Amino acid sequence: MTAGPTFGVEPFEVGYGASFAAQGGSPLDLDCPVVEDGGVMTVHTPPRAGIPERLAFVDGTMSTDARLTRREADGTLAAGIAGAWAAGSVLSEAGLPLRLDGVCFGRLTVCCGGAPVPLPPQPGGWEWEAVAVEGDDVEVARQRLQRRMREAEGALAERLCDAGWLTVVDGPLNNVRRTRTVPIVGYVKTHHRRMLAADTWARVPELEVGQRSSLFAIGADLYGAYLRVGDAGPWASAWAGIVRLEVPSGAGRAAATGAVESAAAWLPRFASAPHRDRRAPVNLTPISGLERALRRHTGDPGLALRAVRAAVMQLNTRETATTATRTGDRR
Amino acid sequence: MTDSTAPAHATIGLVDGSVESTSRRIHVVLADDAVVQLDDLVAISTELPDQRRVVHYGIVTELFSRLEGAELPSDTARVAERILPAQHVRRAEVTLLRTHPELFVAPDAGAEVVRATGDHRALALFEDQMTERLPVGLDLTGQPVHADMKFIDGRAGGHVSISGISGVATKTSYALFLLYQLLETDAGVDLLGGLNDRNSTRALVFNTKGEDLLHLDRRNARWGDHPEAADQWARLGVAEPRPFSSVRLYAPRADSRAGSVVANVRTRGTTEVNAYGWTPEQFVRQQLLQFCFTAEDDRSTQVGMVEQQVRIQLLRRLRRLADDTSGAIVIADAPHADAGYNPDRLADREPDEAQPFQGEVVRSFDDLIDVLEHVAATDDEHTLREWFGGTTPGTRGAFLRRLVKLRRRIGSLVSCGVDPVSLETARLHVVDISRLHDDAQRFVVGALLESIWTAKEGTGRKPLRFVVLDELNKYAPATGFSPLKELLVDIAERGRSLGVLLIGAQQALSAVAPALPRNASLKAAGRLDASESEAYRFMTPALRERATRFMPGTMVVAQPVVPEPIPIRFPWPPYATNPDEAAADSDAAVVAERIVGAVRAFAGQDVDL
Repeated sequence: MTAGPTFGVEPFEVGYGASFAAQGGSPLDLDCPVVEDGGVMTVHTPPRAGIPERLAFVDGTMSTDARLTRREADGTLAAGIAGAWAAGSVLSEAGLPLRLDGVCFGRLTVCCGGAPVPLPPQPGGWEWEAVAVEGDDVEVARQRLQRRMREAEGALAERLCDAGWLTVVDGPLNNVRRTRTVPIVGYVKTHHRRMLAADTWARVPELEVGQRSSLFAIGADLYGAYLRVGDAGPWASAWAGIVRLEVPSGAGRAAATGAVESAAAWLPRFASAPHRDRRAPVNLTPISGLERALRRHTGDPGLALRAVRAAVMQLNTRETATTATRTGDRR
Repeated sequence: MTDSTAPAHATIGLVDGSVESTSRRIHVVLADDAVVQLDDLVAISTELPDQRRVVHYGIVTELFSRLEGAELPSDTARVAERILPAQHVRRAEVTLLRTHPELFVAPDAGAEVVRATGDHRALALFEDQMTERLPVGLDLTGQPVHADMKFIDGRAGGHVSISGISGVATKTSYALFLLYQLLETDAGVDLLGGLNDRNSTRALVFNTKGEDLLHLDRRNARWGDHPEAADQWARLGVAEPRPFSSVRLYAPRADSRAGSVVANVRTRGTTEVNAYGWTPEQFVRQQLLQFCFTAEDDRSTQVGMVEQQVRIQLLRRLRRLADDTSGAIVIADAPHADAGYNPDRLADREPDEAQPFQGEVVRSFDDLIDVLEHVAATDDEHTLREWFGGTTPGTRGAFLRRLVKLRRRIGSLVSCGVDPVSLETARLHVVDISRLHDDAQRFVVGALLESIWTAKEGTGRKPLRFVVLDELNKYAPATGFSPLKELLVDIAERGRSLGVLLIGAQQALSAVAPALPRNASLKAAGRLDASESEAYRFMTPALRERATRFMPGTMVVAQPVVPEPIPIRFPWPPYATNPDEAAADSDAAVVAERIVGAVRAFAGQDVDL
């Protein structure tokens, strides 16, 4: 076999960003130590296992409804966004159909420059909480919206864990107390940076469907492992179908290994099919169902934009009226 | 029916907001615990922007169930295997019947939907607008459904059209069910305008199958197999259902060379059934010759013209045989000097008496044929012209050949000493035509309808005359022309103002002259033939499709005031609708009659038993 390049199709839609964005050197790259198999990256094939009795998937969605501006009397201009976030879970309990639970959602305006945009509520249930961030980077505003979603996800995940649900959180475990001892699994679909030493990292695509890598330590309180959750098809790139699992280290390494081993055994069952989901196989089927349901909660984006426009109009009219009154007072 | 603004009943769901609701049709997302069936009646209250409140009433016409969240067929398995979250959603399609008050608006999307019960059910079915209500069945939940009597008795409408496949559609049973309520119940007395009017109302039922309807005056031996029936009748207001109490039965006269007049009947004693027929005088004066030529091809030739000519000539020469009371006539050699050519005026005239030598004596159908054959054989141009007009010998031959062919089919019905079907002494008259040839059936139906029609013309709507006729397509086919079809179309179009009300039944609506179903106020259909269901425009395509799967006893009834046809059932009859159901009774009767006969033979005629 010649050592020429191989080609692949990225499964993700443009809108979601690439699933693999870790090529090239980056200052954020990590060399996480392998803490299993004597420090040597090894391929594990966990025996297939049944779905846990009480299993929960937690995820959130967010959308930017409109871009906003705030122009002060002196002409300074600040940018912002109006958007919506939602979080919720899908519960899988033995013998019952999957069900949605704990859905919460909200709307937010986030404006740069330290001053908020207080949009008045609009008929039809449109209401915004007004938040301000410092600086002039709209991306910061967007991250603020995302933070709200992540916080809600984290709170829901904690609550479910406390209630004894084995919880799979879509995304890294950033917003979950790292010292947890009950099983909670972070499920990361995208790879933004190299997390293992380069030669070990290069071996990760060797994983076959249902196989996981050795456990590695991500900082002090998380363990990670790679899993090929499904077959992305012969056209796919080498990393397609691979996800990173995260578990808290609070319960000790043995418990973490057990959690990853068992999750690797039943997670592939939830992998999505390519005709069903643009992000297949890594976007889990219950999670894509949950996302669709959450988007229904945050409402139609077109209507949201219309409501924002109406609210801005109302706000401006009121501002003008107030100014006029003030001018009148001065006289 | 006072406060109709707020239906306060159990919610069954919400008006589906994911699709548009219209002023005619809405979808309802059903509540998790709601059990809703087709034909359930619902109410939706909507507040208009001007604070007025309207209530929409509707009937469930289709039900849907799906997994919300499943987008592809294969998602179903994912949901079942608990991979994909989805919500089981049940929806109902509701066809709106009424908006109260009458404002043409659509119900609000998201509005609460409740079951329409009590006063709301009555409003949904327009029963508040019916001053006199005839129960036409029980809806599928067991509540009575009514029709407005003024659309039954001819005031605003009349005639009933019943369609459906033979055997499973229970068309005749349904016709009898309607008659029973009119003629035999307390409510019927009121509906027909009091006891006197009720007692002068007549129903003429033609029995076309076996001797099924010759037992309506007997209790149904299988009544006990239907324990629910008593309760169903009670809901219809009939506390003690019984057989028809006022019935007169007729069967054709049995063939007899000896000239005896006995009914041709097997499942009942011959003394219980009246033999019917027409005397030669009645045959001529009622112009029944026209009903001898009703077959498809009779009217497409010159034969019809000959018939008309002959009919008039018979009237012009009609004499009563002197010293005879059996109905024998003399066809005189010469017509009355002052006799015109208007057949109706001629028929009204009391015939003079004549001696046998003044012409040819006619005592039977055979004699009549003889008269006509003699005339046809003459060389006298003048006589031929008088009798047959300017027709060719070929046409005359065809006319006679047909008449001869009818000899065996109709012959026994025209004879001296027979009585016609009279509508006296009983309310329900059942005339058996089942054993007759098609030609004879048409003859009998034509003759009887003609006499009812003639009697009612000029007397006004009351007393009412109901006529139950199955296989209507035989008598008034969609294509072709015959005097019988003409008569039926006339009855359909003018009968309601004259109080002649047709309860017609047919397997296939498309085979019947369109004027008949078009003029029927009440349209009912039992199980339909799938290939035929296109003809039933009064039903929605979905209901037509459903009607192809109706069980016996389920019908759908359309009436003018309610915009949608309502599926109904009707209870098991307390009267026997075939010989088997009358088994116990009739066996006993036949045995008893046999014993009486045997004793009489033994003891001699004089003994009074």
